[in-house]
Amino acid sequence: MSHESEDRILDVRDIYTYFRTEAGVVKALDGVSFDIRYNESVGVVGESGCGKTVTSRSILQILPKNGEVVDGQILYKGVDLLALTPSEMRTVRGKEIALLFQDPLSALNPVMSIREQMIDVIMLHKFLTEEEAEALAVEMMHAVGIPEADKRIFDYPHQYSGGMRQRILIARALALQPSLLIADEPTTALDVTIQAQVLDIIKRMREEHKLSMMLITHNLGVVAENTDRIHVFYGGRVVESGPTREIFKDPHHPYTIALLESIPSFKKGKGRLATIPGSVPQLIDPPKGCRFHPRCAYVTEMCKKRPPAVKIKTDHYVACHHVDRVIKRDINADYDPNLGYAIDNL
Amino acid sequence: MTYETKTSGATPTLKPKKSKSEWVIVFDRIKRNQIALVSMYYILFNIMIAIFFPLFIPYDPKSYAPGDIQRFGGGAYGRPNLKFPAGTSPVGFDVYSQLLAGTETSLLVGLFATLISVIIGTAVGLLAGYYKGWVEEVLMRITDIFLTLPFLIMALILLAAIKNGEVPVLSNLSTIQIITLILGFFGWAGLARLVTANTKQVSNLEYIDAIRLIGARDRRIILIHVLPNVLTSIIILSALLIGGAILSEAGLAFLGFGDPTTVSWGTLVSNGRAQFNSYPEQALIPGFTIFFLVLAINLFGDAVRDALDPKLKE
Amino acid sequence: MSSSEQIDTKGDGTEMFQQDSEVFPGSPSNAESMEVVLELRNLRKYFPIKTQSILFSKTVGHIKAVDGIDLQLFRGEVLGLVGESGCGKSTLSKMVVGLEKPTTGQVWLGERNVHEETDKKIKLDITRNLQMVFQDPYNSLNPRRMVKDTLMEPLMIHQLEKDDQYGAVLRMLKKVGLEDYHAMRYPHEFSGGQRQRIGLARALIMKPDVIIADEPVSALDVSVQASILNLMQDLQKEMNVSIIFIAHDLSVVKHVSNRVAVMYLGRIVEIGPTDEVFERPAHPYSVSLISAIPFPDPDIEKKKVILTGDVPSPIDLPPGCRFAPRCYKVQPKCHEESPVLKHIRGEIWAACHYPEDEEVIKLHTVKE
Repeated sequence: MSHESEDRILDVRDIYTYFRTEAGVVKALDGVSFDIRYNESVGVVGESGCGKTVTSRSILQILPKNGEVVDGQILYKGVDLLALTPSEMRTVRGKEIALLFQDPLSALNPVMSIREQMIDVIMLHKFLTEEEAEALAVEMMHAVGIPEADKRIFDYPHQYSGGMRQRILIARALALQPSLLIADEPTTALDVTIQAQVLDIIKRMREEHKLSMMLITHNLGVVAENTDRIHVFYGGRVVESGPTREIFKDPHHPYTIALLESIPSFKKGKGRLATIPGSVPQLIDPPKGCRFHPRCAYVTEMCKKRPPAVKIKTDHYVACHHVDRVIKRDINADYDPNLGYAIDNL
Repeated sequence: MTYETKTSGATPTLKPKKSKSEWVIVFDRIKRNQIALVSMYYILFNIMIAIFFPLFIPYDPKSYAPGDIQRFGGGAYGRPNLKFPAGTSPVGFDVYSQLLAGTETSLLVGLFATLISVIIGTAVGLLAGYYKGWVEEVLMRITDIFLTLPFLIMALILLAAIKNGEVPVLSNLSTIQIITLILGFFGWAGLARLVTANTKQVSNLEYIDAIRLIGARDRRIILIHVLPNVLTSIIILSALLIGGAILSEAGLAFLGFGDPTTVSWGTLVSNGRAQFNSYPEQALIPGFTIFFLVLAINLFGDAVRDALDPKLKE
Repeated sequence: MSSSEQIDTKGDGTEMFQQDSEVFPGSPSNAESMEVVLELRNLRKYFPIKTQSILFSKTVGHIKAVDGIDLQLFRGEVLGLVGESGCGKSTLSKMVVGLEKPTTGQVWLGERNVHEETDKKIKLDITRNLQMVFQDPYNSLNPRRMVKDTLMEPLMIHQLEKDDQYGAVLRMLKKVGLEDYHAMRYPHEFSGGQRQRIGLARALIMKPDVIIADEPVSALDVSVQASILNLMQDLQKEMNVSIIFIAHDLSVVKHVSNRVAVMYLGRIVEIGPTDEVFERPAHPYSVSLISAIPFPDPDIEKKKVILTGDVPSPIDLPPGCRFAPRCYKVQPKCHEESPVLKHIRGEIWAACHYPEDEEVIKLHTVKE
């Protein structure tokens, strides 16, 4: 695979991120590997606690104090980020890799004007004078569709709406001309019509700036419309990855299949939704073997013992022992999707 | 996960897990905190002394019968020795006996004063926080007044007034009882504020709406649904209030406004003050006794708060 | 109904409806054959904005959170209520169940006026029949009470199932998919989905006529959300309860509801059968709202109508149509005259001077 590595901007190889808590070690990421290519938009999909956010924080090394990447490699343009010094890492953050948060309010300092917050970052990374930095900031704000940017730059965060704040963060992130944008649930806190606006801007900016993007979200609709490839996370591991269209049309992992069938959608009628029994695993004491096995319709004894190997089918990776059975939808005879409701996940 | 699919042929194992009550979890956390444990044992030790001190004291700590003075044979200003472990007082009492007897006074004053404060403060806080609006406005202004009153001056005036019989209902009380009442009556304002804030927070939660929708009356909501959920913060603050009350009682006694018929740590410090240069231990021993108990209470209160803080996540 | 009456804020709903014997705004054509369980008449809620002063506070304006809503809910139907944050969905739901007093207007539960009833017995019966399912599974259960206490409480207050209250609790738990032993547990021992089941059980145990479900699944994971939606649908059919289902996730609303009402800045701008509204919306706001939903199918080409600007604050509302500043087909008339909910086509009612034509709107096309 080494010959391929040249077209990858980010190559995450087998990383393990653990958190020490009072109740024990939380294995938030347990051998996660995936990649992002140049100019590509990659979706990271999963439910709460699957390790989506921890992945982005591991890449940028902004984990909370009790968390640590204990093993693995994160190659960004061929350089292992885990081997960099803290000061080298600071230049990577922002200038090379930009991060967009879910909550745009907490990412802005409420007592500083937008102008101060924008030009501070720009001057720090781009060695511009204050006037040049301000001109760039206004230009970027204009580009993300903030009306009267030259006047509104003097306003404070609370004077902007949620959608506008997210635009400001996009403008600030892109002013530094990063190569990779990590967007962590960028529209989850926003209303649908504002979400559409923000996603539209991100799409436009991505095309203009030749940006690669890692879009982390639980919203499968957002992923379907905005990404080229998808990595599906479950319980701190990647269970399936492949081109967006293929994942939606021809999913191979039982979890992906169940997830797609469980979302109410326009095409389906009023009938019952498919469900997955039980709930997402606790990562302090995760299920042995394949982490999805307690909820899986295809489970066998093997799944309970061994974590599944990654199988390859041209650009489509599936972590499942029973791909051939899954393709035939050969469900265990005694599988009951309603069984797990009452069962404790503690 | 106790869940297994039926592939193995077995029915799903539904092992009911034993419920762990919140307080058990909190106690588990406290047990892991060394300082809290030491503090807790020290407080328990003081409580035991307060209850059983008559069994341990060699001499009567507070007899003022004529001829009793110096009858123990230690003389005035006795240095600590084997017979009198803490020395003898300026008038010849055994300080060790007095310290033990004083534990009861201090703890009782602390407990009862705090009890009064907690009852007033909780009632005011629950009403203000639940009803909001003008009820809160009026109660909080009264609370503000109590927070800003100069405690010492008010306490001295009240003490004098009650002693002179100007409040007929209270004229039969002993000085130490009056002091307890005053401490309790002036100590509730901070608690009332805290309870108000917590009550407001709790009563904004959805489950209070849910219970209102069921048709429950206000009294039931406040007592059954709000109070238990603000109780933890009341308990934590009460611990600190007990410490404060013990300190205030000692302060009043030190200034000479204590109860002359009761042995109290504050009185002991006050008595020992006169010859501090020659006999520092006369004031230092009771002083440190107060210090250690109040410190232990505060540390324990802090530990309980910490144990409760990261909201019961397993 | 004339538009002057519609804007009349002091208007007494009863009188208005006596004068007006025409069709209730937004009613389906077969309304006569169905039983109305809940009726909102010209419901308004204005929150005063006061100047901050120590002694005297002056009202300088009003936040018009809900501004004149007429709505009928029929027996056994699920009515979806959609709209963006700040459109007044939550205030409306709180007024309906009686947690918030309306500024004007009435809520009628059958023959009984929810807010003006004084008889204690009838009042208690109204609360029994109007229940709510909350959004946050973590804050909607008292953390210090076991499940059995939470579920027993309504039975005790309303003196229902007197001979076997605990048995009734266990039967209810079974219905929502939980086991007997769960009755003796505390909320923190349950997952979010399980807690939402308990919340559902608490609302249903009194066998109410109407349930207001305020974003009941938005805090849950997708895979758990599906099982709660299934459960709600099953129980709704089994107990024949009417539900007002509030959600910002339109695909969820589309899945569960028979009729849907779209709210914008305190008013209903469009109401009609779910499928019709979602396939051929008439109001430009509904059009953009529905087109903005990300679609989990890469093969469907969507026409996106992206709105400009944000939802204006409900304090300084523009005169005329409230949607006019953001509307893509705004005309001079829209700034002058406030549109009234009127019958457009089929079963669809919308408050718009220039509603979309059935032929023009086709939001989804399959990619070749």
